[in-house]
Amino acid sequence: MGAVPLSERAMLSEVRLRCGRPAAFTYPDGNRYLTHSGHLTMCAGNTECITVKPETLTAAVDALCNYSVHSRSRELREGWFVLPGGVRVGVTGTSSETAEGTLRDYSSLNFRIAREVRGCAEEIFRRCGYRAGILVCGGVNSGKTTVLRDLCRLCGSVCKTALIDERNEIAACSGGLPTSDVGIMTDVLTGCKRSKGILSAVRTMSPEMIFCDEIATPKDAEAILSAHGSGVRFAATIHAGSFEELMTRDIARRLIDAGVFTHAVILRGSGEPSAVSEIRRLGDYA
Amino acid sequence: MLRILAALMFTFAGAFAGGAFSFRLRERREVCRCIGLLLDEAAVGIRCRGADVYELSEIFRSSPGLSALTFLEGLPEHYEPGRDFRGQWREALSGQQLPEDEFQLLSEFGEIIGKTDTEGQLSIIEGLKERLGRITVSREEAYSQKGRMYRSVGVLFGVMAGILVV
Repeated sequence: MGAVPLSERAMLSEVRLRCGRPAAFTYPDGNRYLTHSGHLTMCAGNTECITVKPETLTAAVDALCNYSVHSRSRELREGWFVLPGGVRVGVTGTSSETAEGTLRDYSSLNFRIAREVRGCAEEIFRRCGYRAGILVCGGVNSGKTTVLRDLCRLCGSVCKTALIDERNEIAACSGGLPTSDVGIMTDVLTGCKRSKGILSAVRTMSPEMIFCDEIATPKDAEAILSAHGSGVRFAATIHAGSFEELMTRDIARRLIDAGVFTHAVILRGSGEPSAVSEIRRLGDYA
Repeated sequence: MLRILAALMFTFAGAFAGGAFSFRLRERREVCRCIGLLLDEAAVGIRCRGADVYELSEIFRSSPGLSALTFLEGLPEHYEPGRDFRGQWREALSGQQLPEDEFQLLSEFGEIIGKTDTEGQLSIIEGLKERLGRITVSREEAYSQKGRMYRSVGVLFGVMAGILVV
């Protein structure tokens, strides 16, 4: 990270280490590659670029797991783990032949830099309020999670909120303490499956609003519908680059038709992370 | 009178030397017991709590039954950037006066701890425990056979030397 000028760190979204290839830093305007002299270059073919060796990846995963791969078995089996501060590390490699199937012979690491952008959801909060069902839509690296975190902070300051943070990248809890500001009235459930977490939160914490990231499976939809039936409102993110793409997704259609979400927030994309392109009322559509 | 005192001193010296040899054998048996306990603690910590190596170090240090393994005091309490836990384990273990087999076993444990998933760690610990079992049997036998012999021979030589002096 020392190679990244301070002025450019705010824009850095990913650091990618791929075995046998140059170490890449992802910015909204493209990739840059680390050179032996400690500078970044736009040219991947530059002979000066540092090539990532297999032992570097193994040592990196080992150190990131606190020299305890066994304590991260579950996450490594799923191909990711989260560092203190909410940095999500995606891992690829060969699945071991043990019953647990943890990864070994790592081939790539992807550090997704988490950051709090305070105020990025203020416009959404002002226009939708905390009584709306909000669906935040965007493509890869569009800042969906960042927007959801800020929205959670705003809603969690005015009503009872539950945050289902399956991968611990929104609240970045450490020892039960959220290291990101997610609101003073927010209860955080981390490490559990989204669908299980939603039902558990409804049963135990009586939230007025539930936040969850990246809804994707029919089980998620079932759990959301069940909780919505109990009068809970939802704010969630979903992968969709545009409103038209959103409406092609069955899970989104189902939840919108059921009236769970009243507003869709479309983000601009990876070129302008966390920036809102459009806030659309869904009541008319449904 | 002086000769009798000298004879008594020789007898005591012989008994002391025999006792010291026997004590050393007993210590080896104690080290094996401690390593067995350490492996048990590690297995429980990994299986039940998913404890990382630093948490395991804390468990080892706070366990009263492991006091004979003084190198545990030299293990780090927290993750230190740029410092490999296994290197720190090697460093802590390097100055220890331990029998060769036990030293080897602890070195191997330090090299492999945290390198695999839970299942792998537990199988490795199981393998080390089996090996430790064999070492323990030989230490037990050595203590029960040679320990008694050292004590008897020590006293015997002391008495013989005493008689010669008298």
